[in-house]
Amino acid sequence: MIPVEHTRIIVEQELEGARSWATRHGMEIGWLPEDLQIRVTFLQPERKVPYFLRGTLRDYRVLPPEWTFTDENWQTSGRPRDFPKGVATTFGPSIFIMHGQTTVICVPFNRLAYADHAGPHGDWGGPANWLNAGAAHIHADTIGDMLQAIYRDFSLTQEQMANP
Amino acid sequence: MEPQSQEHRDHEVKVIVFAPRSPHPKEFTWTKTLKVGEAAREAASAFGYQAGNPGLQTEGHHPRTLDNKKTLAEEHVKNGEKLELIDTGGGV
Repeated sequence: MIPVEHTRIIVEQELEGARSWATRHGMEIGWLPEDLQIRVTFLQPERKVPYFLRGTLRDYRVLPPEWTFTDENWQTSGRPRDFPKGVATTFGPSIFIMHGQTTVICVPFNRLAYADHAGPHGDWGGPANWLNAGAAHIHADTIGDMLQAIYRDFSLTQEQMANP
Repeated sequence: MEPQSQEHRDHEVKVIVFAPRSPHPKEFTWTKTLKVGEAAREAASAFGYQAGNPGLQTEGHHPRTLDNKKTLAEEHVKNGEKLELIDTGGGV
């Protein structure tokens, strides 16, 4: 839908801010331009357990990224053992949920949260509506803001959704 | 322009605000009686945010989210403090 080179240019512009955010929080952002993929290792503050957050950005920004946690090889996704167990926050329910047998980062800026991508939300107008969807929910519309939003709830978690 | 009086300056706080979308922070001078939520909205607007529910958190290993309904003074925001813009919306 969107020329790959177009997406790369947009992502690389947004990565300037995102990388500054990551540095402030002691992280590095991996960017694989051939795969249009972002990789960030989040470390749970208390237990120091690493989680592997992967964003796939085909057709970004017409569609939101696909954000998911994977195994340590950045391949297998959706497993509860690789996913943080959500805890209620001062902002409301956690963004980390189970939907059926799979895990979902349930935010309007995640393509995988929409029903037509096997997510729970058939009420957000589809992923092409992501910039206006879920107005009462957490909002983020750049890569840096998305990482900050996911890390905000991640930093409150203590354990995996399921034991390895 | 007349220089600000000491009394006036005592009622203000100068902070540095970072935003996850920008590689560069911005400096703001706010009155200490300003609500955190109003300060966050002003900062968000300056960084180009057009939607969402902006808030502010402290820097550091264990950042603390400031209460949007309290004033900067009530949240003990100090001169020179570094703050980060966040979105305060919930999930699900």
